[in-house]
Amino acid sequence: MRARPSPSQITASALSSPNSPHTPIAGAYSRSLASLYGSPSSLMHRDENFLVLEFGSRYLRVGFGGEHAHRVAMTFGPEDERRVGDFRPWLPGYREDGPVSLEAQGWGNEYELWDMDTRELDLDLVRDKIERAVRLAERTNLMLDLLPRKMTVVLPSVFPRPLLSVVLSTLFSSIQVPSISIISSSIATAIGAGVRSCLVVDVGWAETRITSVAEYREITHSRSVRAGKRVLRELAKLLNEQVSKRFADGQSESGKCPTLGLNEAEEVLYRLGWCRQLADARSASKANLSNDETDLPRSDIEITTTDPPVTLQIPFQDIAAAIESALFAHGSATKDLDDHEQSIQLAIFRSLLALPIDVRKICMSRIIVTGGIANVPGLKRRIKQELEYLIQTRGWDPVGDYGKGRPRRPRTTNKNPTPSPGATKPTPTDNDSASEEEYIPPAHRTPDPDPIALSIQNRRAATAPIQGMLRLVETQGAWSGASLLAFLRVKGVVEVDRDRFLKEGLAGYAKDKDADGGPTRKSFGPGIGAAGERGKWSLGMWA
Amino acid sequence: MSVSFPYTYYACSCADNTSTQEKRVSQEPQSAQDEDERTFDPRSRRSNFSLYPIEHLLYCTECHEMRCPRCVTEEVICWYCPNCLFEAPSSTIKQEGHRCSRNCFNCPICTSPLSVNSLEQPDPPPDDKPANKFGGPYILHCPYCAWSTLDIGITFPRPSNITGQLAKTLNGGLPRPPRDRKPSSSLKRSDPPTTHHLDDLPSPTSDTSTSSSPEPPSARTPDPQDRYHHLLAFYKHQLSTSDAALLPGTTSTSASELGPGSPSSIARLLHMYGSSIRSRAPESGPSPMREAATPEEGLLIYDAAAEAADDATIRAMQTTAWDTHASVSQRLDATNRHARAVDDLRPISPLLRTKRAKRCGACRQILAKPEGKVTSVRSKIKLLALQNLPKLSIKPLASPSTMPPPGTSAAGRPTSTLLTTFSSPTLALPALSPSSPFALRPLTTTHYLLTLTNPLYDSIRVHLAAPSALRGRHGAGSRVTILCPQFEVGANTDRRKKGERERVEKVRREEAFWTVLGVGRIVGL
Repeated sequence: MRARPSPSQITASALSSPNSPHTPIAGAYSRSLASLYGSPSSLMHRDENFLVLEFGSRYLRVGFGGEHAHRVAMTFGPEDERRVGDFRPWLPGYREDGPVSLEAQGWGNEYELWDMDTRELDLDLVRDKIERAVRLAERTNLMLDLLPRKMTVVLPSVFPRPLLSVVLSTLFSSIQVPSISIISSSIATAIGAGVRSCLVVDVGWAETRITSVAEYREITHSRSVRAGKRVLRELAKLLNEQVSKRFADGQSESGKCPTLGLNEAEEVLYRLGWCRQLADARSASKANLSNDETDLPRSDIEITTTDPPVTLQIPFQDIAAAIESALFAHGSATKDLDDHEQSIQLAIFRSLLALPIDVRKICMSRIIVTGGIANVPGLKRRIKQELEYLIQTRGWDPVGDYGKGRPRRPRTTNKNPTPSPGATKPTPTDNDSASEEEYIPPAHRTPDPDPIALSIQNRRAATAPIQGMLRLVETQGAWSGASLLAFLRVKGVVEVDRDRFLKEGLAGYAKDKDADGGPTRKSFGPGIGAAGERGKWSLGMWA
Repeated sequence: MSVSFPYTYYACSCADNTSTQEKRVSQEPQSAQDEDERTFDPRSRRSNFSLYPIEHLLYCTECHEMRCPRCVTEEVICWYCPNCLFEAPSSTIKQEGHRCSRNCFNCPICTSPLSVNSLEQPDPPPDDKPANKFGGPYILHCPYCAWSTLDIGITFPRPSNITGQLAKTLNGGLPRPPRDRKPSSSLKRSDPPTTHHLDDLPSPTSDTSTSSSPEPPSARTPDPQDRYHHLLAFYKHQLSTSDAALLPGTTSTSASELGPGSPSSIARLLHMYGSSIRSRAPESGPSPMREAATPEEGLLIYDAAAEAADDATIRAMQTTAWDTHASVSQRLDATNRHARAVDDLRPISPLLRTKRAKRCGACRQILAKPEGKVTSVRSKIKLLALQNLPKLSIKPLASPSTMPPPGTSAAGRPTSTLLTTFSSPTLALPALSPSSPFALRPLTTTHYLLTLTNPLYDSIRVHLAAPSALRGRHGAGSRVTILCPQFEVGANTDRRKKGERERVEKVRREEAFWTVLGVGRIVGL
C-alpha cells in the first residue's frame, strides 16, 4: 500500500467528503466554457479530430473522441518488431521463435511496450515502438485528413517521468498536434462509468492497480503484481504440464516436447478462461484433496502452433483454478506474500480500509473492475464474493491476525460494517432539547444548525447516493471515458503545449502546486486563461 | 524480396537524431560521449525499426539524404476501398468508420473477401424488379472457407446495400431494436450529432446469448454504444445545467439563444463585464453535478442479471467445442471485439486504403505523389533511393557452402551510412540453421563478393569498414578482412541526352554498371 505521491490530494479529499458542500465540479477538471461563450458556429463544427490514445503495457488504443470505442488496439509483440520488408512470416513453414522458459525472469516481457521499472529499460526502443504503432494506426485505421487539433492521452497515474517524456516527445514529433492533454486512467474509468467517486480495480497486464477516486480525485493507490501476466504464466504452466505429461505417456509420436508460450496461453484465456464462485472453489479444493480428478469434465484445447498440432484435454476446473491461483492466491498464506504480491481481494480490502470512512462508504458501493482480465466471465462475481467474505470475517479492522491477543471489540459478522449515513452525525434537534436542561459550555455545545448545510443535505437526500453496501459498477473503459471528456471539451489539468515541450522538455513544468487543483474559475469570458495560464503548465499528478 | 539469405538493409539515420534529442529532454544519466561512440548494431532490437530495404526508401534531392517512412510526413490524397476500388468521398468516411459502405465484406473467420450469393437457383428469369423476384434471399459467402452469413442466421432480402441491411439485423436474424437515443434529459441538443457507421455495426454484447439459449440481448447489457450515448447525454445535461445555474441570466444553452443579440447573451455579457450587476442567485442555487443514477443515464451495475449472464457464458464454454469459441485473431477487428463465440462474429467491412503524398520531414519537399485516380498506379513525383543511392548486393564467391553472414558497412555518402546486414540472430531462418551449407565453419575461410551498383551519372568514392570481430550466434568471433577498403565506382555509362533519360530509364537500370569492389575473406576460428 502506498499513498498517492502528493499529500495535498489527501487533504483535498476531506474537503470533498459528501457531508460538506462542494463546488459543482470539484477538483480535477474545470469545465470548458466554450459551450457557453464560444460562438455558435464553433458548436456546430463537430468534425474536428479529437484523437484519444490510451497507453497500456501491451496495447495502445487509438481512436477518435466522441466514439464509443477505440478504433484499433495496437499490439507490441515480437511480430510487431519485424523489419520493414521482412516477409518471412508469410512463407510456408515459418515459425516464431520458441518461447522462453517459464522459469525465466522476464517471461512475457517481449510482448509488452514498457516495463515500469525504467532502470533497465531501453527508452529509445520504447520510442521506436510507440512511433511505429502510432504511424501504423494512423495509416491503417485513422487516415487523418487534417491534422488533429487536440489529443488526449490516457496514462496510468503512477508513471515514470522518463517514460512520460518519451511518450510526449514521440507523439509531438510523429503527429503534429499542438497540445496534448493527459488524464489518468482511473479517472477516465470513473467517467466512463458515470460515477464521481469509486474504487477502480484495474486488472491489467503487469500489475493490478487499485485506485480510489473521490469526486474525480485520486486519493490512494496500491498495486499488486497479480494481474494478466501472472495469469497467463499460470495458464502456460498448466498447458506445459499437460503437454509434457502427454509426451511422457507416449501418446504423441514426435520426439521433442514443445514448450508453449504466451500466445497459446492467451488463446486459452480468451476461449476458455473463467472463474468459479467462492463456495465452488472452496469445495473443489477440498474435493481435490480427497479424490482424483478423473471424472471431472474436460475441455479440448487444440494447439496448432506445435508441430504436429496437439489436442490437450484439460479439466475445465483446472483452467479456473490456474487463473484463480494467480489472482486470489488461495494456496499461500498472507504472511508469506510480499507487499507487492498480495492477492487482489486483500489489496482491495486494504485500499478501502485506508480510506476515510465517509469516502469508504461511497467507494465501496462503486467498485469498478476493469482491465483486460476483467472480461473473464465470473471474475467480477468472484471478486465481490471474496470481498464480502473478507468484510464479514474481519470487519473493518486493520489488524488481520491478533495472534494470542484479543481484539478490542468483538468482530461483527452480520452488522452493516459502516454506519448508516444518518448515524454519522447526531441530529441537531436532539441536542437542542438536551441543552435546555443543563448548562453546556459553548465550546462543547453542538453548533447551531446551519441552514445552508441543511438545505444542501435536504437536496442531497432527494437523490441519496447508494453507499455502505458492496456493489460493483461496470465501466465503459478508460478509453471511452477519455473519449467523453474529449468530446465534451473538458479541459484537463495537464495540458502540454507542443512548442513549450519541445523547447523545455519536462523540466519546464510549473512547480506550482496550486495548479494541481486545476485552473479554477478565476476569470470568465472567452479565451479564458489564454494569456495568463499559458505561461505555466502543470504536470498535475505526474509531476 | 529480402527473404533470400544474403540481403542488404539500409540504416536511416533519423532514429539517432531523435535519440540524441531525447537525451537532452529527459536528462538521462547517459553521457554524451557514450552516445557518440555507440556504433550501429544491426543485431539490437532497435535496429529493426531503422533498417529498410532500399526499395522502401525515398531520397530527398534537397537534403541529399535518404528518407525512410518515419522521417517523411504524409498527406492523404484519396481514400478508396481495396476490394471494389471505389473512391470514398472524404466527407463521409469518418462517419462510416473508414470502412467501405458498399457491398464489400471480409470473412470474420479467414479474412478473405465475401461474395454476395443468392440462396436460390438463378432459374427464374429476371424481371423488371430484380430485387424482389430474382434470387430470393441473399447471403454473404466466403469462397475460401465456406463460411456464410447463414452460419449466424442472417439473410438479406436484397442484394444491394448489404451494409444497411446488416446494420439492422442482429446475429440470429432478429431485427435490431431501434436505438433509443432519447436521453432522459429534455435537451434536444443533447442528442448525439452524428451516427457513426462503425458504431452502427452492432457489437454483440459480452453476455453471449449463444444460439443454444436465445434470449433477447437487450435483456441484460445495453449495447456499449447505447450506453456511451446515454452517458454522453447525461454529462452534457449535467454540464449545461450546472453551467447555466452559475449565471443568473441564463437558463438554457440552446444554440438559438447563443446568438449575440439574444437577451440571454446580453445578460451574460453584462454579467461578464460588471460583476457588481450580479443579482442574487436564485433560491435554488447551482445544483451540484451528480453522478449517473439510472441506466438511462448510463449507469450499469454488476447485478444478479449480470451474474446469470456470466453463468450462461461459462456453461456455454464448458459444453461447446474448442473451435466454436472465437480466437484471439478473430477478435482483433473492432467489429468483433466483444464476440466470444464464433456465432457472435459479424462480417467485417474492409478498412479503406489511402493514396498518400510524401514530403521530406526536414525541407517539406514532395518526395512522392501518386496520381489522384484510384486505379492508376503511376506517380507524378517519385524520388526513390534506388535511383540515387548505390545499391549493394552480396553474393558468395565460390560455392554455396561458403556463405558468410558478416556485417559489412560502406559509407557511400558522407551524410548517410549504408549498412549491409544479415539475418538477425533472434529470427531463425531455415537457411541459417547450423546444419545448412551457408553456416560458417570453424577455421575455414569463406569468400564473398560485394557488388555495388551506381545509378548516378557521377563516379563515387566508397570506403568500406567492418567490425574487427563478428558478434551474434553465427560466426561469433570470426574475423572479417576487406581486401579493398577504398575504391571508386565509375559513373553510369548511360550517357544519353537529358530528355531521353526518362524514357530509357528502365533500360538503364538493367544494364547498370557493375563493379567488383572487393573480396572479403572471413577466417573462422
